Amino acid sequence: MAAEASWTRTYRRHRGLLLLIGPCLAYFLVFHYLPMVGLIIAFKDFVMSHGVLASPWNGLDNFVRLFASEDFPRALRNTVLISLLRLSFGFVAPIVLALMLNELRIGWFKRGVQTLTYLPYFFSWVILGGIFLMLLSGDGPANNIVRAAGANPISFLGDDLWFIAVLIAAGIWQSAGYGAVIYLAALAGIDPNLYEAASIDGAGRWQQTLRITLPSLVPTIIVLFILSLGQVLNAGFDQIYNMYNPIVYDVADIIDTYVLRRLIAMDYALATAGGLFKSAVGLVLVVGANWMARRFSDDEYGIW
Amino acid sequence: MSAKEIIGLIGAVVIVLAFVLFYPTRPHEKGNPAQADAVDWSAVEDDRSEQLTIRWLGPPVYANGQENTWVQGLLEERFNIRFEPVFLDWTANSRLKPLMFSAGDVPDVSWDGDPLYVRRNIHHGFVMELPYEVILEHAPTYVKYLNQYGRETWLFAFYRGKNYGIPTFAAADIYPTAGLWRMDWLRRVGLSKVPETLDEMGEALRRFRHGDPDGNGIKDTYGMYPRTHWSLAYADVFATFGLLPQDFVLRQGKVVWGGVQPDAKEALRRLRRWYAEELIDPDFAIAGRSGDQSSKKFQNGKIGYLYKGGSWLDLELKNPNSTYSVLRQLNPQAELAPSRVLAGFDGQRRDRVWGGPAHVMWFGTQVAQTPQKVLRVLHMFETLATDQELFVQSRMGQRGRHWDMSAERGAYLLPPYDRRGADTRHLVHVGLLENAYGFFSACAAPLQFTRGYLPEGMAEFRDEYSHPSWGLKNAIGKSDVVDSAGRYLEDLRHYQATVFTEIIRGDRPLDDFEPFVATWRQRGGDILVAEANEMLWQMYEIYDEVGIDREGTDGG
Repeated sequence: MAAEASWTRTYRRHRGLLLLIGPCLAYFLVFHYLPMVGLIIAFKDFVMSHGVLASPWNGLDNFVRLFASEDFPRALRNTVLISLLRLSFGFVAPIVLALMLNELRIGWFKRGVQTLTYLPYFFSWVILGGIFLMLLSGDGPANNIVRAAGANPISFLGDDLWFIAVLIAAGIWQSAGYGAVIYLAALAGIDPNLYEAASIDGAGRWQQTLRITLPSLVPTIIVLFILSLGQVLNAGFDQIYNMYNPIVYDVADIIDTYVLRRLIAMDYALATAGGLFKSAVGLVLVVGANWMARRFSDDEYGIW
Repeated sequence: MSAKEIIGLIGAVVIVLAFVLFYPTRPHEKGNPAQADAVDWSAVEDDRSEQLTIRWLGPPVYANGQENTWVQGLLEERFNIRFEPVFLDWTANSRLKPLMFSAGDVPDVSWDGDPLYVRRNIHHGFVMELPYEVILEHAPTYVKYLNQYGRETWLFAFYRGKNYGIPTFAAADIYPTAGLWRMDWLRRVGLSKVPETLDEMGEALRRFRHGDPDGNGIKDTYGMYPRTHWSLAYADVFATFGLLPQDFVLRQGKVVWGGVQPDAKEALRRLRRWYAEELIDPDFAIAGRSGDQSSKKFQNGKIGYLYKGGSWLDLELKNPNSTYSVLRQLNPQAELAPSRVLAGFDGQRRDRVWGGPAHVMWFGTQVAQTPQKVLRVLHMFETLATDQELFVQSRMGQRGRHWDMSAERGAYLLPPYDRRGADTRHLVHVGLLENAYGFFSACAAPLQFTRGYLPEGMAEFRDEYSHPSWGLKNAIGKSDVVDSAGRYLEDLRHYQATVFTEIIRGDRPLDDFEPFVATWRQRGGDILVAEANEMLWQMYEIYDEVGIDREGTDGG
């Protein structure tokens, strides 16, 4: 009884706040949690007119089909490779950019650079794909420079290694500016007294960056790293779908492009099995990374 | 409240809501859904004085179509139907339509372009069975023309022993489209006529690359740029070997896949040599989804030959948007010449055509409750196949109001209907007269219906450059009629495109062709070919049912 009374009391005290968070909870419930029920079609022979619940179960058949196919294991390999590359290079880029922006002292210049660097984030890859194709084609500006330097034209988008390099570089160019915003916010939160004290002690800018700025960023970096590990099987569908071509299918066909092909063929059960596998791996990685972060920081860092 | 309680509460709410949302409102019997809806057709009669309301999803080329257009009114009055049209664009057709259906919104009549989708929709229980006898009985003239022009379409509507829906045909698809050459370039490099064989073509392309055909003193031109869509890629070269690279073709009475035949290697050898001699613009390999640059390269004077660019309309100088007009705006000296389809080593000219088979119009399973609608729609198809004036009006509207014609231009739209988008908004579209893309009359008419509306000289042009007897088509209409298409076809097409491009570019040795064939067969190719051969026999059995002589000649 006592517990129930405290229940109602807490509820009454925070009624306003609960009301405020209501729409947000409803959004996640309706658009993120409810659709999860549909995941059961990964274990069914899904027939649309029967509906999700009435379609007959077929156990793990869809997963067997998935891994027995030639293309899914290859797509999985490509996804992991591209993601790890993105993580290795792409994760550091916004931190470096934020640190560099942080050192700029002229206000208008800093704002200008910041705007320019995060502008590409707002362009769709449909447009960017066309622009990159034009820039990097045989008679495009990039190859004109290569030719002017006396070298043979490079098939930037028609060579496995170059394609991956372009993919990663273009991805960084497109998203680093946007990613830097969070770090800039964290930088703004660092106590200026620390810097003053350090400079009195004789630390130069480089020393201050190493001993104050970076350590202050560590919690943010760890949180973002854990979150981005959960995205490891998201290798950047929009970008790849708009940039790849037959020559690089071997290295650029990822889980998402594979799943899309299955969806377009209306093979929803198989597509769902692919998507579910992806999410399960993402979940394991996030939980694992969080566990590691807590373990090695004596429970100081970590998301939960 | 503890965290555990919160999670439990959310979980309970999710499960309850899920049941409410997903519980099927129309429980279907297990097994073949169409069986539950079997109709006794002998008992069905169509009282034409009774007005019927029909929800109609036509071909997705009228994304901005409007309700209650003149064309809709015409057909409604004539057939005593109240139409509820559903307009989609191509993306919505492939992505949104399945969601519409799964939410229970299946129109009475729906269009599907590819057999794969017809079959998936049947599998998912949306499509009503429609026996051959019903179509034959109620639309005999329509069937006669369908059998003449697009007989393979019967296969598109066939699934596990039954027919679902009305097949349609596109009479003009029997014409191969010629290639287009820069005649001024040919002359400048010392050639007086348009190439007609593969060897002549190679020589012209060589001079285009190495003979400075645009006379600017810079080596900045290529011979050709292979098209990127699977249906067009290398098809001009392969066709001279009697093959289509990404289709089923008939060889010694058996269906085989073009891209894995031994002479496909010879076609690749030729293309590989051309690439090594720099006759092929290397950019073709990287186009991907960003699109086929061939027309743009041709119009910008980077290449001198454009495959499938040589229809009458491409050469029309009076149309400011035709290939010729655009080229002339950029380069007033440019001169174009169409080429006849290339002759193979046996002297026979061949080029890929869709060949007449088109799409399927099918009825939703709920129509089994009012089968009268099926008979009314069949009556409409039959009337459109027998009444030339009505057919033309159903496509272009009223003469004097929507369109007019002259000997020189043929039929043309009048203002304001000639404005971009205005034609599709009002469901009038001169350019579609011969295709299977009418919104309500989703089937072409026999060529004798449409011939009179073509521009002067077009018929002669077709005889000269696009003779139907040169067409080479898929042996079973479209490759995705086979059962396992959804599982293997798209992946194998990707795989083949990669290997072919790599062999042509020299990334792989030519002798990788044999290992490619072995892998292709093992990764599902053998299954597809076996099923395609079954489909061929199935097709002959269907022909017996719908009154086609197996040995009969093709349409045209």
